[in-house]
Amino acid sequence: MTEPNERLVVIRHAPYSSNELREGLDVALVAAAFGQAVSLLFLGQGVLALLKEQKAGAPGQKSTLPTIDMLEMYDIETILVPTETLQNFNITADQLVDGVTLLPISDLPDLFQRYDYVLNF
Amino acid sequence: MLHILNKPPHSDAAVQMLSTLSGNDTIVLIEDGVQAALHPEWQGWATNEVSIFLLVEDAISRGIHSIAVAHGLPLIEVDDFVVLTEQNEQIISWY
Repeated sequence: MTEPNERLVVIRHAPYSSNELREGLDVALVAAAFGQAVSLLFLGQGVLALLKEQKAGAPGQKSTLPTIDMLEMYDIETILVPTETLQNFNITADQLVDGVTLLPISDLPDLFQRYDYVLNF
Repeated sequence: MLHILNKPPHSDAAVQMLSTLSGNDTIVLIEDGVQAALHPEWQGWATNEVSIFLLVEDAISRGIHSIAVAHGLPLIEVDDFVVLTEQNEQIISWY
């Protein structure tokens, strides 16, 4: 049984290189603003969006880190990252923003089954 | 669950899709996704209880239709694709 109208937004792109990350975060925030239950999963390059040391990019390139920090204000508390993804990028959990929950990549099939709507960015 | 992949088999998107598959999921390979027909060793083909289809018009446009047929890979028309989207509640695009 999937949780009724729970949204899982999957972020798979790094900051700055494309708009995918910003669009994914915007969708998550809008859904949450409309009272939907939203969880976020960061896969592959997406994990780079959670590095807490990020600063603004080249002139005109706004950082997405402030948006990540805003998630909590919108009651988006489930921020998932597979432990294997961290290992692939040689990143440790303490280099990420707070509030990240690690899960084994083997949990992904069950995780995906639990959501009516999985939006991929 | 229906997965739609439009990236080649060794791309991040394809690898990530494979890590989320459950039994009796369905995959439709479109656009560059049909390149999987060139790779019999692709992990996707070895995943049991998952049915994988190639969109025939993309296989034709990319010149690998005969290869797909030679490998006995299932090819579907757009109408079949639409039926699959109706049969599956959860549809996930890996673009």
